[in-house]
Amino acid sequence: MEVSDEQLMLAYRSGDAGAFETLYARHRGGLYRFVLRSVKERGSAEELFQDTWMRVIDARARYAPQARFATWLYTIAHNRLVDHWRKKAPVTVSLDDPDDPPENVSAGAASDPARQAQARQDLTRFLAALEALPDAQRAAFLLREEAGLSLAEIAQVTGIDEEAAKSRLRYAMAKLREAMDGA
Amino acid sequence: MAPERDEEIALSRRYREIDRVEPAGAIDEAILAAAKRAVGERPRSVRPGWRVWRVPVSLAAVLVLSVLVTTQLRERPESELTGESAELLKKQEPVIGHVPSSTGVSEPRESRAVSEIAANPPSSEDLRERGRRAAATRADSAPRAGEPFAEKPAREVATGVVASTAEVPSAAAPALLPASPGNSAPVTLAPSAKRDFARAAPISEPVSTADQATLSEASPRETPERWLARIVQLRDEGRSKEADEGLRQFRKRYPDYPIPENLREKLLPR
Repeated sequence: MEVSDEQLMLAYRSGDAGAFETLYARHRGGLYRFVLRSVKERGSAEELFQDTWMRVIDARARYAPQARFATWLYTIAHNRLVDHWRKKAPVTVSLDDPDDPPENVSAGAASDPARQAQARQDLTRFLAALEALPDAQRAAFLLREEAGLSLAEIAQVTGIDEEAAKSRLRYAMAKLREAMDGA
Repeated sequence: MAPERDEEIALSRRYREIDRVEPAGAIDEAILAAAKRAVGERPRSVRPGWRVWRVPVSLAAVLVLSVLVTTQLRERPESELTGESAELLKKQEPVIGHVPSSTGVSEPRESRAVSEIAANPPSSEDLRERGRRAAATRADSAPRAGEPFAEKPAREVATGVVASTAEVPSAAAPALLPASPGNSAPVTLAPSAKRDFARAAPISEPVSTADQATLSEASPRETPERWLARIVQLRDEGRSKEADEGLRQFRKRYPDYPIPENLREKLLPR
């Protein structure tokens, strides 16, 4: 049976550095993408990502498994993002370099160049729509997709009630769907 | 509800088709190194059970160690002795001091040793052999020319045991014996030394028959000076027969021993 995130964090709190490695391996990708697609800039994303983990390390002695570890981790990251947004005016820089378009396309599309090009266009449009979402709606969507949080957990991370979280998520999905349907 | 759920799944699938970017390796290394440093700086938290028992267990360990060390130190002086030094010390011990008897009453060691010898008298061959060994030991332990007389064997100093003149005479009582066999100058017995002889000999109690027998033969460990002192004492007490027999035995044992002038009159029959 797989050791839970909470057990790993408690082990790390007790001095087991190996437990932290496992925990980090589980959450590094999701958290990084959550931060990157929230700030839309790689440099700031890396800084915030690193800062989030450093806060986890520093706060290990105070950690108590009252909620899922992921909820705690993304709460820290979200708070850092809020600080970041407050400091910086909203920018609309593309998430990806123009020279580095999305590579991951479905296997079926890879065999047909025309379909492959269409798939790339769809993903670019999807990313643009995600990028265009208000921060709160995008955060709700990313917390759902990257962290796998429930509505209650999204509400907890973002500091709102569950209904508000549900509303944000619904708006976000509607806009994304609209962008895809309009293609 | 179902179409909404389907749309949600479709959007989720579309999102996952986007490139799954990940942090750079350098960032991973930096974070993991920081995590290790953080727990490496402080020792691991002590388990509550051990925290409770830490002080009592430490005290018990110290106590046990102290008892062991004390026991070892008490047993060591005896067990450390090996070979000739152990034999030497064992031979010296009966001559000096007292040991508690089995009845708890203090009994002079010398009289006990004398009794033992009386019970198992050594043969003349044995006595000769012991005499030769004693002479060899004297020669070995005698200080060489220029060495200070005060220099005692290390063993003697360490244990606080005063060696008798039986086996290491030249070191312990240099004034009583010639420093080397070649030195034939007569040795004068100082009055203080004489008193020492008298004090060392347990003569306050009446001498038993067995003791009388040993007086004439004397212990093979007894020094010539002491033997002579006893003969003088017997003479003083009017026990001429025993003194004569003792003198005869002495002559037999030490034919070449030069008897000091001042003792000669006292030793000879009056």
